[in-house]
Amino acid sequence: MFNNDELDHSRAPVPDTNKLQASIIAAAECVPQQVAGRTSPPPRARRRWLHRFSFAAPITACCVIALLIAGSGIEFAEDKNVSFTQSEEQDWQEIMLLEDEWLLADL
Amino acid sequence: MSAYQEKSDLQLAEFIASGNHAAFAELVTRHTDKFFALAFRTLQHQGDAEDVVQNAFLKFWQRPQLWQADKAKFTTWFYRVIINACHDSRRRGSRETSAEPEVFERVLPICLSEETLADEKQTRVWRQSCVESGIRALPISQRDALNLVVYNEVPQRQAAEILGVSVKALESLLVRAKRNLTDHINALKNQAERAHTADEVSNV
Repeated sequence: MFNNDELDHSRAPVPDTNKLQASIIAAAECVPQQVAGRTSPPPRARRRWLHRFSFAAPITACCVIALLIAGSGIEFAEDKNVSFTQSEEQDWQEIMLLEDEWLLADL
Repeated sequence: MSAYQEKSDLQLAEFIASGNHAAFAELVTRHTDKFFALAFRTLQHQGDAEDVVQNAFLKFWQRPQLWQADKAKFTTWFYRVIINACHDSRRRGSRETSAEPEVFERVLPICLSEETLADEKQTRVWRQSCVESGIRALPISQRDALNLVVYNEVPQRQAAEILGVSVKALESLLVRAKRNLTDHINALKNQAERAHTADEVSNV
């Protein structure tokens, strides 16, 4: 069986690493570091998201209010129609009563 | 002489965390040789080994907080990073430039002829080819153990920590690796001698 010395001298030599070292050091100059613990989105993106939200929220609120008003408007119109009809009937009954009174007065 | 040469790995890592490029350069200069040697032995390819080491160092530069100094020494942790990166590289189907076994077996009888064996350099090349081929045939765990302890001269305790096994298990891996390597080389030698004898008979 091989001993360590035999094995050590029986493999191809490892190439020199000077160029590799220079390459790694130079490459690191071009690579930005990532700050520890930054798991949330970067601040700029968050601000943009907040900006969008600040526009979206009032617009959504306005739409909801508009829908509510429109919905309640229909109900008002129906009520108005009902009340108009009722008042018209009342008016008509009053006119009839008055006419009756006038007839009785004439007699 | 660099101002950082006296600093420990931990101190350098603290400087690196604050974006100190000179400290990073010192760390690279200090350790590249041994990490590259391991990657080169594992992948048996210079280009792939260089890629693995460069990427590992650049990742450390980008995120030095990945190394937790309270859990392992820098070299222990980084050896593990390099080994994992080598396995990933191998899985991705990187090139293997060393002679394939078939090619090796075809070349072996030529290398074993008396004229070539007389040449010391040729003998060394033949022996290197035998060992490289034998190591490539080993199971990954045995190969990693052999590369770390025998070729990178990492102490057994540290090597066991790097590979995540007990010292006894590491010793067992080494014994089996050496036995398998010896068997592999003896088989190749016998095969080559038989081929050489057959050639001589046919010439007569």
